Amino acid sequence: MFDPAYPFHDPFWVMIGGMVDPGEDFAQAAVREADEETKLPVIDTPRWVWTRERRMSWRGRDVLHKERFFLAHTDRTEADTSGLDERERSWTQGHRWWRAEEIAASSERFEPLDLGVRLEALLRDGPPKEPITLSS
Amino acid sequence: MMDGRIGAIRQALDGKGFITPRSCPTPPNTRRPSIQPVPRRHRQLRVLTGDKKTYQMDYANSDEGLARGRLRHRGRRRHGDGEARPAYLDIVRRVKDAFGVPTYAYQVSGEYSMLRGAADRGWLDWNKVLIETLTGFKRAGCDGILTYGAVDAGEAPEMIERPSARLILLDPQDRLFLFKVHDPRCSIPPIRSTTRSG
Repeated sequence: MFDPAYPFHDPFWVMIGGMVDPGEDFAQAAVREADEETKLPVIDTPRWVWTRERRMSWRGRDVLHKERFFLAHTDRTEADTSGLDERERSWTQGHRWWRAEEIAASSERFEPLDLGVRLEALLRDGPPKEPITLSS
Repeated sequence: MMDGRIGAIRQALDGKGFITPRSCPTPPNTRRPSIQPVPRRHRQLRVLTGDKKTYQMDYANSDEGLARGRLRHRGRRRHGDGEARPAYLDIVRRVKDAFGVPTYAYQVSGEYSMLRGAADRGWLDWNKVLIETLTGFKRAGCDGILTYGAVDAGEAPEMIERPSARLILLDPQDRLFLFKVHDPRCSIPPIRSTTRSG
Protein backbone atom coordinates (compact mmCIF):
# COMPACT_ATOMS: atom_id res chain seq x y z
CA MET A 1 0.00 0.00 0.00
CA PHE A 2 2.57 2.53 1.09
CA ASP A 3 5.79 3.01 -0.77
CA PRO A 4 8.47 4.04 1.73
CA ALA A 5 10.32 5.80 -1.06
CA TYR A 6 7.82 8.63 -0.68
CA PRO A 7 8.64 10.05 2.69
CA PHE A 8 5.88 12.59 3.11
CA HIS A 9 6.02 14.33 6.39
CA ASP A 10 2.32 14.67 7.04
CA PRO A 11 -0.25 11.96 7.30
CA PHE A 12 -1.78 11.48 3.89
CA TRP A 13 -4.20 9.20 2.05
CA VAL A 14 -3.01 6.65 -0.43
CA MET A 15 -4.48 3.85 -2.50
CA ILE A 16 -4.00 0.14 -2.08
CA GLY A 17 -0.79 -0.89 -3.79
CA GLY A 18 2.81 -1.90 -3.56
CA MET A 19 5.82 -3.23 -5.34
CA VAL A 20 5.49 -5.61 -8.26
CA ASP A 21 6.97 -8.96 -7.28
CA PRO A 22 9.22 -10.96 -9.61
CA GLY A 23 7.15 -13.01 -11.99
CA GLU A 24 3.96 -10.99 -11.78
CA ASP A 25 2.75 -8.08 -13.87
CA PHE A 26 1.53 -4.74 -12.60
CA ALA A 27 -2.16 -5.69 -12.66
CA GLN A 28 -1.53 -8.91 -10.80
CA ALA A 29 0.41 -6.99 -8.19
CA ALA A 30 -2.47 -4.56 -7.71
CA VAL A 31 -4.98 -7.38 -7.19
CA ARG A 32 -2.63 -9.23 -4.86
CA GLU A 33 -2.09 -6.13 -2.77
CA ALA A 34 -5.85 -5.64 -2.47
CA ASP A 35 -6.17 -9.12 -1.07
CA GLU A 36 -3.20 -8.80 1.25
CA GLU A 37 -4.05 -5.38 2.60
CA THR A 38 -7.86 -5.39 2.69
CA LYS A 39 -9.16 -8.85 1.73
CA LEU A 40 -11.53 -6.98 -0.57
CA PRO A 41 -12.32 -9.07 -3.66
CA VAL A 42 -11.66 -7.53 -7.06
CA ILE A 43 -14.66 -8.48 -9.18
CA ASP A 44 -13.64 -7.14 -12.58
CA THR A 45 -10.53 -6.98 -14.72
CA PRO A 46 -8.33 -4.10 -13.57
CA ARG A 47 -7.94 -1.41 -16.20
CA TRP A 48 -4.71 0.53 -16.46
CA VAL A 49 -5.81 4.17 -16.40
CA TRP A 50 -2.93 6.25 -15.06
CA THR A 51 0.82 5.93 -15.12
CA ARG A 52 3.60 7.83 -13.45
CA GLU A 53 7.38 7.71 -13.63
CA ARG A 54 9.56 9.57 -11.24
CA ARG A 55 13.27 9.57 -10.78
CA MET A 56 13.97 10.20 -7.16
CA SER A 57 16.99 10.26 -4.98
CA TRP A 58 16.82 7.83 -2.13
CA ARG A 59 19.71 7.32 0.23
CA GLY A 60 21.98 9.00 -2.26
CA ARG A 61 20.97 6.74 -5.11
CA ASP A 62 18.84 7.42 -8.13
CA VAL A 63 15.74 5.30 -8.21
CA LEU A 64 13.27 5.21 -11.05
CA HIS A 65 9.77 4.70 -9.74
CA LYS A 66 7.43 3.23 -12.32
CA GLU A 67 3.86 3.27 -11.14
CA ARG A 68 0.73 2.05 -12.82
CA PHE A 69 -2.72 2.78 -11.48
CA PHE A 70 -5.53 0.33 -12.18
CA LEU A 71 -9.25 0.91 -11.92
CA ALA A 72 -11.26 -1.97 -10.49
CA HIS A 73 -14.38 -2.66 -8.49
CA THR A 74 -15.30 -4.65 -5.43
CA ASP A 75 -18.72 -5.74 -4.20
CA ARG A 76 -17.90 -5.42 -0.54
CA THR A 77 -17.20 -2.50 1.75
CA GLU A 78 -15.78 -4.07 4.88
CA ALA A 79 -12.03 -4.18 4.71
CA ASP A 80 -10.02 -6.62 6.75
CA THR A 81 -6.58 -5.14 7.34
CA SER A 82 -5.31 -7.93 9.53
CA GLY A 83 -3.02 -8.93 6.68
CA LEU A 84 -0.84 -5.84 7.10
CA ASP A 85 2.56 -6.72 8.43
CA GLU A 86 4.14 -5.09 11.43
CA ARG A 87 5.94 -2.44 9.45
CA GLU A 88 2.88 -1.54 7.44
CA ARG A 89 0.85 -1.29 10.60
CA SER A 90 3.45 1.03 12.09
CA TRP A 91 2.74 3.71 9.51
CA THR A 92 -0.94 3.06 8.89
CA GLN A 93 -3.33 5.20 10.85
CA GLY A 94 -6.61 4.10 9.35
CA HIS A 95 -8.67 3.65 6.23
CA ARG A 96 -12.02 4.66 4.82
CA TRP A 97 -14.03 4.99 1.60
CA TRP A 98 -14.02 8.38 -0.08
CA ARG A 99 -16.30 9.92 -2.66
CA ALA A 100 -14.43 11.72 -5.43
CA GLU A 101 -16.04 15.04 -4.56
CA GLU A 102 -15.12 14.56 -0.90
CA ILE A 103 -11.50 14.12 -1.88
CA ALA A 104 -11.58 17.17 -4.13
CA ALA A 105 -13.08 19.29 -1.37
CA SER A 106 -10.95 17.96 1.46
CA SER A 107 -8.05 19.76 3.06
CA GLU A 108 -6.39 16.44 3.80
CA ARG A 109 -3.41 15.42 1.76
CA PHE A 110 -3.74 12.79 -0.93
CA GLU A 111 -1.31 10.87 -3.08
CA PRO A 112 -1.26 11.84 -5.89
CA LEU A 113 -1.94 15.40 -4.83
CA ASP A 114 -4.67 15.95 -7.43
CA LEU A 115 -6.40 12.66 -6.73
CA GLY A 116 -9.85 14.19 -6.26
CA VAL A 117 -9.90 15.91 -9.65
CA ARG A 118 -8.40 12.87 -11.36
CA LEU A 119 -10.96 10.54 -9.85
CA GLU A 120 -13.86 12.84 -10.73
CA ALA A 121 -12.67 12.88 -14.34
CA LEU A 122 -12.27 9.11 -14.37
CA LEU A 123 -15.79 8.54 -13.06
CA ARG A 124 -17.25 11.14 -15.40
CA ASP A 125 -15.43 10.13 -18.59
CA GLY A 126 -14.71 6.47 -17.96
CA PRO A 127 -11.33 4.81 -18.46
CA PRO A 128 -9.14 6.57 -21.05
CA LYS A 129 -8.15 4.78 -24.25
CA GLU A 130 -4.51 5.17 -23.31
CA PRO A 131 -3.24 5.47 -19.75
CA ILE A 132 -2.94 9.08 -18.67
CA THR A 133 0.49 10.14 -17.49
CA LEU A 134 0.42 11.79 -14.10
CA SER A 135 2.91 14.52 -13.46
CA SER A 136 2.84 14.66 -9.69
CA MET B 1 44.83 -26.77 -15.83
CA MET B 2 46.78 -23.74 -14.67
CA ASP B 3 49.52 -25.60 -12.89
CA GLY B 4 46.95 -27.82 -11.28
CA ARG B 5 45.26 -25.13 -9.23
CA ILE B 6 41.78 -25.98 -10.36
CA GLY B 7 42.48 -29.64 -9.94
CA ALA B 8 43.63 -28.98 -6.38
CA ILE B 9 40.51 -26.96 -5.62
CA ARG B 10 38.43 -29.69 -7.16
CA GLN B 11 40.15 -32.33 -5.06
CA ALA B 12 39.73 -30.31 -1.89
CA LEU B 13 36.04 -29.77 -2.57
CA ASP B 14 35.51 -33.42 -3.39
CA GLY B 15 37.40 -34.38 -0.25
CA LYS B 16 35.02 -32.33 1.86
CA GLY B 17 32.03 -33.80 0.12
CA PHE B 18 31.23 -30.72 -2.00
CA ILE B 19 30.81 -32.74 -5.12
CA THR B 20 28.56 -30.37 -7.04
CA PRO B 21 29.81 -26.86 -6.50
CA ARG B 22 27.96 -24.33 -8.59
CA SER B 23 30.98 -22.36 -9.57
CA CYS B 24 34.69 -22.67 -9.79
CA PRO B 25 36.13 -19.92 -11.92
CA THR B 26 39.10 -20.52 -14.14
CA PRO B 27 41.38 -18.21 -16.07
CA PRO B 28 40.88 -17.21 -19.68
CA ASN B 29 41.26 -19.90 -22.24
CA THR B 30 42.38 -17.62 -24.99
CA ARG B 31 45.78 -16.17 -24.42
CA ARG B 32 48.46 -13.88 -25.65
CA PRO B 33 46.38 -10.75 -25.78
CA SER B 34 48.14 -7.43 -25.85
CA ILE B 35 45.72 -5.68 -23.61
CA GLN B 36 46.03 -7.57 -20.39
CA PRO B 37 48.49 -9.78 -18.55
CA VAL B 38 46.93 -13.15 -17.90
CA PRO B 39 48.09 -16.27 -16.13
CA ARG B 40 49.71 -19.08 -18.08
CA ARG B 41 49.29 -22.76 -18.47
CA HIS B 42 51.86 -25.46 -17.94
CA ARG B 43 54.34 -23.46 -16.02
CA GLN B 44 56.23 -22.98 -12.85
CA LEU B 45 56.06 -19.60 -11.18
CA ARG B 46 59.83 -19.22 -11.38
CA VAL B 47 59.80 -19.15 -15.16
CA LEU B 48 57.11 -16.50 -15.32
CA THR B 49 59.19 -13.65 -16.67
CA GLY B 50 59.12 -11.53 -19.77
CA ASP B 51 56.15 -11.62 -22.06
CA LYS B 52 53.91 -14.61 -22.33
CA LYS B 53 53.68 -15.15 -26.03
CA THR B 54 55.64 -18.35 -25.93
CA TYR B 55 53.14 -20.28 -23.89
CA GLN B 56 49.82 -18.55 -24.32
CA MET B 57 47.41 -19.54 -27.01
CA ASP B 58 47.03 -17.57 -30.14
CA TYR B 59 44.19 -15.18 -29.55
CA ALA B 60 43.28 -15.37 -33.23
CA ASN B 61 42.71 -19.07 -32.96
CA SER B 62 39.51 -19.79 -31.12
CA ASP B 63 39.52 -23.40 -32.28
CA GLU B 64 42.61 -23.98 -30.23
CA GLY B 65 40.90 -22.54 -27.19
CA LEU B 66 37.94 -24.82 -27.67
CA ALA B 67 40.16 -27.82 -28.19
CA ARG B 68 41.90 -27.12 -24.92
CA GLY B 69 38.52 -26.61 -23.30
CA ARG B 70 37.53 -30.07 -24.46
CA LEU B 71 40.63 -31.53 -22.93
CA ARG B 72 39.86 -29.87 -19.65
CA HIS B 73 36.32 -31.11 -19.68
CA ARG B 74 37.58 -34.62 -19.85
CA GLY B 75 39.16 -33.74 -16.54
CA ARG B 76 35.75 -33.79 -14.86
CA ARG B 77 35.20 -30.07 -14.82
CA ARG B 78 31.60 -29.07 -14.52
CA HIS B 79 31.87 -25.44 -15.48
CA GLY B 80 32.99 -23.28 -18.34
CA ASP B 81 36.07 -21.14 -18.69
CA GLY B 82 36.49 -17.58 -17.75
CA GLU B 83 36.95 -15.07 -20.48
CA ALA B 84 38.21 -11.66 -19.76
CA ARG B 85 37.24 -9.09 -22.33
CA PRO B 86 34.49 -8.01 -24.67
CA ALA B 87 36.98 -8.62 -27.47
CA TYR B 88 36.74 -12.30 -26.59
CA LEU B 89 33.04 -12.72 -26.07
CA ASP B 90 32.83 -14.82 -29.20
CA ILE B 91 34.85 -17.39 -27.28
CA VAL B 92 32.41 -17.28 -24.39
CA ARG B 93 29.60 -17.99 -26.77
CA ARG B 94 31.47 -20.85 -28.40
CA VAL B 95 32.36 -22.35 -25.03
CA LYS B 96 28.77 -22.05 -23.93
CA ASP B 97 27.47 -23.60 -27.11
CA ALA B 98 30.09 -26.32 -27.25
CA PHE B 99 29.92 -27.50 -23.65
CA GLY B 100 26.56 -26.28 -22.37
CA VAL B 101 27.92 -25.85 -18.87
CA PRO B 102 27.74 -22.85 -16.56
CA THR B 103 30.15 -20.37 -18.04
CA TYR B 104 31.91 -17.58 -16.23
CA ALA B 105 33.86 -14.54 -17.26
CA TYR B 106 36.28 -12.13 -15.66
CA GLN B 107 36.23 -8.38 -15.82
CA VAL B 108 39.10 -7.64 -13.55
CA SER B 109 42.49 -6.00 -13.70
CA GLY B 110 42.98 -5.24 -17.37
CA GLU B 111 39.60 -4.41 -18.74
CA TYR B 112 38.34 -3.04 -15.48
CA SER B 113 41.29 -0.70 -15.29
CA MET B 114 40.83 0.48 -18.85
CA LEU B 115 37.20 1.32 -18.31
CA ARG B 116 37.76 2.80 -14.89
CA GLY B 117 40.70 4.83 -16.16
CA ALA B 118 38.70 6.20 -19.06
CA ALA B 119 35.77 6.97 -16.80
CA ASP B 120 38.04 8.79 -14.38
CA ARG B 121 39.16 10.98 -17.24
CA GLY B 122 35.61 11.74 -18.21
CA TRP B 123 35.77 9.80 -21.46
CA LEU B 124 33.13 7.29 -20.41
CA ASP B 125 30.07 7.29 -18.23
CA TRP B 126 31.20 4.68 -15.71
CA ASN B 127 27.80 3.35 -14.68
CA LYS B 128 26.54 3.13 -18.22
CA VAL B 129 29.58 1.47 -19.69
CA LEU B 130 29.80 -0.93 -16.78
CA ILE B 131 26.23 -2.08 -17.24
CA GLU B 132 26.68 -2.21 -20.99
CA THR B 133 29.73 -4.45 -20.76
CA LEU B 134 28.19 -6.71 -18.15
CA THR B 135 25.10 -7.00 -20.31
CA GLY B 136 27.39 -7.97 -23.18
CA PHE B 137 28.86 -10.78 -21.10
CA LYS B 138 25.41 -12.05 -20.26
CA ARG B 139 24.30 -11.81 -23.86
CA ALA B 140 27.31 -13.84 -24.91
CA GLY B 141 26.17 -16.63 -22.62
CA CYS B 142 27.89 -16.01 -19.31
CA ASP B 143 26.11 -17.41 -16.30
CA GLY B 144 28.25 -15.37 -13.99
CA ILE B 145 30.72 -12.51 -14.20
CA LEU B 146 33.53 -11.80 -11.80
CA THR B 147 34.12 -8.07 -11.84
CA TYR B 148 35.68 -5.47 -9.63
CA GLY B 149 32.69 -3.36 -10.63
CA ALA B 150 30.20 -5.62 -8.86
CA VAL B 151 29.38 -3.15 -6.12
CA ASP B 152 29.05 -0.27 -8.56
CA ALA B 153 26.91 -2.38 -10.85
CA GLY B 154 24.61 -3.16 -7.97
CA GLU B 155 24.24 0.52 -7.27
CA ALA B 156 24.15 1.86 -10.82
CA PRO B 157 21.04 3.96 -11.42
CA GLU B 158 20.19 1.94 -14.50
CA MET B 159 19.83 -1.10 -12.33
CA ILE B 160 17.40 0.33 -9.85
CA GLU B 161 13.82 0.42 -10.96
CA ARG B 162 10.97 0.22 -8.59
CA PRO B 163 7.85 -0.96 -10.38
CA SER B 164 4.77 -0.55 -8.29
CA ALA B 165 1.07 -0.91 -8.84
CA ARG B 166 -1.81 0.91 -7.23
CA LEU B 167 -5.43 -0.01 -7.25
CA ILE B 168 -8.21 2.53 -7.69
CA LEU B 169 -10.64 0.24 -5.94
CA LEU B 170 -14.25 1.42 -6.01
CA ASP B 171 -17.11 0.03 -3.98
CA PRO B 172 -20.66 -0.30 -5.38
CA GLN B 173 -21.23 3.39 -4.55
CA ASP B 174 -18.13 4.41 -6.53
CA ARG B 175 -16.30 5.33 -3.39
CA LEU B 176 -12.53 4.93 -3.34
CA PHE B 177 -10.70 2.91 -0.70
CA LEU B 178 -7.80 4.82 0.83
CA PHE B 179 -5.36 4.20 3.64
CA LYS B 180 -4.21 6.98 5.90
CA VAL B 181 -0.48 6.71 6.47
CA HIS B 182 2.26 8.79 7.99
CA ASP B 183 5.93 9.25 7.39
CA PRO B 184 7.69 5.99 8.14
CA ARG B 185 11.20 7.44 8.06
CA CYS B 186 12.14 5.47 11.11
CA SER B 187 11.44 2.23 9.30
CA ILE B 188 12.80 2.24 5.79
CA PRO B 189 13.42 -1.18 4.29
CA PRO B 190 16.26 -1.84 1.84
CA ILE B 191 15.55 -1.35 -1.85
CA ARG B 192 16.40 -4.89 -2.64
CA SER B 193 18.14 -7.77 -1.03
CA THR B 194 21.52 -8.79 -2.28
CA THR B 195 21.96 -12.49 -2.67
CA ARG B 196 24.98 -14.41 -3.64
CA SER B 197 24.90 -17.73 -5.34
CA GLY B 198 27.58 -20.29 -5.69
